[in-house]
Amino acid sequence: MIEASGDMALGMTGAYDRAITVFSPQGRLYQVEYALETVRSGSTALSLITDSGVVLAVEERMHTKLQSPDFSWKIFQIDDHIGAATAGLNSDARVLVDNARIYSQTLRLSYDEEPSVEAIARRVGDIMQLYTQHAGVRPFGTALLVGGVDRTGPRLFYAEPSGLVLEYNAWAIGRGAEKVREIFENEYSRSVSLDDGVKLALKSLVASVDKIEEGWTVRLVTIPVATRKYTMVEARALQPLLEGLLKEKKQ
Amino acid sequence: MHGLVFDLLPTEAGDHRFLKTGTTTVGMVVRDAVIFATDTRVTSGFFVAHRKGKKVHPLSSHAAITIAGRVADAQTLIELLRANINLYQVSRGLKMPIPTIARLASSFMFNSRFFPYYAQLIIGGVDSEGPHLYNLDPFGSITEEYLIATGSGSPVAYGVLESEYKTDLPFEDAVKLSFRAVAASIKRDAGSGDSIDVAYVRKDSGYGELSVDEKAPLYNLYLKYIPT
Repeated sequence: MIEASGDMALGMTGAYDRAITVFSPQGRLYQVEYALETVRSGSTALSLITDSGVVLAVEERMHTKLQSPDFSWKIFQIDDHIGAATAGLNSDARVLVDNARIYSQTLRLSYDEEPSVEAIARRVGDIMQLYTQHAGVRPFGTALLVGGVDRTGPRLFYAEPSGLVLEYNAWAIGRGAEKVREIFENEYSRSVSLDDGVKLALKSLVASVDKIEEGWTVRLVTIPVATRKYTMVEARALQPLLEGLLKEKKQ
Repeated sequence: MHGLVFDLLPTEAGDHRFLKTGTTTVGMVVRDAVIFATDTRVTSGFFVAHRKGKKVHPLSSHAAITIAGRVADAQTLIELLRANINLYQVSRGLKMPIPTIARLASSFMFNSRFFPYYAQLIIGGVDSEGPHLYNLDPFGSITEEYLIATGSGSPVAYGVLESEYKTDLPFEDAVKLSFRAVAASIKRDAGSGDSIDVAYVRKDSGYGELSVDEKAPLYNLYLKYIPT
């Protein structure tokens, strides 16, 4: 025999977050909102554009000294001129990035032109949307910042698990996002050099962390307008800038 | 009868007992470099459809390909290879090694052997292992060589090449020899003609082509005229 009270409880709350293809009576898709929560609690990723290029930066936390410091897992090259940074489930991000890479080459093959950053970002958004509507799947537990320089100049897009795609001048995702956005709101300017863009990115990233622990590292990529080439900035080159910021933070 | 071709069929039209590509392409390996030279004649049957057809193409900064056979097939293959080379590079952060490029091309061709890409290819370049040069046929066979000539002009070209080629030839001498081999086949092979393209991949500077000015003295030396 089914107890009326138990049945009611299930009907009121539980049932609408079991399958994502089902709306709640309030018109919400709970599973998608939970996916966004995964992004919110992920480690921070940020990106900004200046007139002279794109900066993508992420924090990566090594959990043990045994981990190789050379391996980056939150920042990806998608094409010559496009990169992506992620927050949330890294494994889900890799699937989207693989798809974006193939799509980018497919566009080159079909149209003999450099794919636009917008086309790639929209594609990622389209795939994410599919996983909010189909049965038997769950949404992606990740958001992507897709940045690059195409024939329209430097561009930055944000794609989230719902499939929403938005364009920004500067944006951040992950657990430090609030703090980074606050700094961006006050200090961001588009008409600065790429070097100044890198400095703001690093400053915001360091400021967003509560406590710098052993194994905390930064990965940073630039895509200058001058070269239109995805360029990973080596740890050695970042060190002098970071050291000052970290020292300041300790005091 | 098959659209534009780098191809001349001296036998009855449609007779494919002899798969003859009416072109001359040359590839050779020297120290830290690979050199390519081709004629530029494009034919449709006995009609010269284009006098400045491009038969040597960069595949990336460190690899190149020469083509003989059906133009559409070869161009499609090149685009397919480029897409895969780029994808390899962004996914792995490494340049695709030359043997890998050759194997990939071979796989594409073998997989469609019952509806073949009608193209004879020379693929070459320089990777971390050094220079490599491969010969591929329309069905995907693959051999690594130091010296290759393909197309209807190849017997003439081989005659010139094999009398002087050495693996330790200086780069400039090797460029001259490649040019001279194609010049010789232009003179004696009806399927080859018009002008000569020279390209190279060097260990340090990557892919490059000889400019019109750089080719002028070579034309004067080996053809006694400068093509228009």
